[in-house]
Amino acid sequence: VPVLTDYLSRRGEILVLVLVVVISVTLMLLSSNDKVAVAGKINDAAFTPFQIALSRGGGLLEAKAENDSLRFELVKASLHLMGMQESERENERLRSMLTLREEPGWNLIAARVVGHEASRSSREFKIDKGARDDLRKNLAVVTLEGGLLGRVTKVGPHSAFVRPLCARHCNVSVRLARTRTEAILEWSPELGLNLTFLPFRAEFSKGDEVVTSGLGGVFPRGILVGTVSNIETLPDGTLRALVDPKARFDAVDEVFIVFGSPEGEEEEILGDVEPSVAIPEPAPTGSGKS
Amino acid sequence: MMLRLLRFFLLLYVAVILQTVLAGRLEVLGVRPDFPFLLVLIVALHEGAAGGALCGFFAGLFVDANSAHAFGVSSLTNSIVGFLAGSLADRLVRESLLTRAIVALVATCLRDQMLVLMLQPWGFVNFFAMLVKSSLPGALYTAILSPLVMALSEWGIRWDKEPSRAIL
Repeated sequence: VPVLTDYLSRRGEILVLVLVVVISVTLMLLSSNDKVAVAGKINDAAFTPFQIALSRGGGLLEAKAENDSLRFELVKASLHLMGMQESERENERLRSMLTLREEPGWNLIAARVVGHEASRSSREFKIDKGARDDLRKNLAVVTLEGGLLGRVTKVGPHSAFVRPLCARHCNVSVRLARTRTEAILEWSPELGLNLTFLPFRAEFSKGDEVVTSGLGGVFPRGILVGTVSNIETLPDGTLRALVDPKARFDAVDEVFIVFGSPEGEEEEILGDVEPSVAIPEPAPTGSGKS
Repeated sequence: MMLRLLRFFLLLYVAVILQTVLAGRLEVLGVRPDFPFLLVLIVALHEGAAGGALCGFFAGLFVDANSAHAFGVSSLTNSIVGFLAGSLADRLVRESLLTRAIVALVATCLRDQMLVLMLQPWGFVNFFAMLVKSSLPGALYTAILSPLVMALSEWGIRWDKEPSRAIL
């Protein structure tokens, strides 16, 4: 009898394992839309409200709202300033075509970080704005200081996930503000943020500002990404530059989503070959502050 | 039993909330602990293989719901590792803090490496690099916190001194 009981108990355990494995595999085989729908429903029903409540804390809501509004204006002003600086540089280069440019009116929406992605393997975080606030995939995200932080990767009804620059698959087309040299900004675990595809004999130096180039995609041009912190020549003669980011990836509480400038510029997000599932990422090192 | 089940789901909910809100702030050198997985392991140690598998499934489901991608992957890996941990539970001194830390270390490493292989079809290429750079530091951090988190979970679910082998 004990042997039989043990056998039946063992069979029951294996049956439970088979059941949960089958359900898990079925979930994995759902289409992307269905996955987003199921995950979004569980997330928004069970977790998002509590996460938002936790992040907002209690009390002082009015003061917080006023503070938010002022910060919003500050970021707007900061982005205005960056846009104007970019225009000035352009005007200097093109003296003969000097014209007064209209001040870009950045279209921003403030959001609060309510949590990090639950899996330890990814660096994305969650904000309290979603499709109902007109958010959509690939919108640019900036910090309070106006530095580029990353982009929106997944949008639920009331929340969205943001992928910071210090993650894989978040390459951005940039240029060096002083010399206009174009390059691709990417992140790697070994180097942190670095510039690739720099032209041979590119002239730039430590401390040069790196800004978005605005080449055909979502990000408006001229958003400050960071400054060049180190330059090295590789054995094949190409240059590699490390970038010290303006945004602090490890201390993000509030962010701003950029809906684009009124000029209608669209920027390209390069290297955005996104896998259908997240890839575990090692801890960021290198020049990034994350 | 129903009360214990209720306590378990409440604890799991708290663990996932802590993971999303607090774990980022506890990050050390880019490494975070894994609270929901520690709950899976303590359930597996107390309830055996079936309990570990079921708990792993629900913990994975909630974690996946709070992730940007990979729905179902954490459910699968957590279930399998929960099942394995539960299968070994009878052969382990469950009350020992060292045993718990070692179980947490090995199980977290195993789960993370399973994730690497499942999420990257080319995962075997940097299998060892991921083990050294990501899985092992994360597992070590989780293992260090395991005695405290597991003790709190035990207190929260209120297991009897002689653990039952019924499913939850």
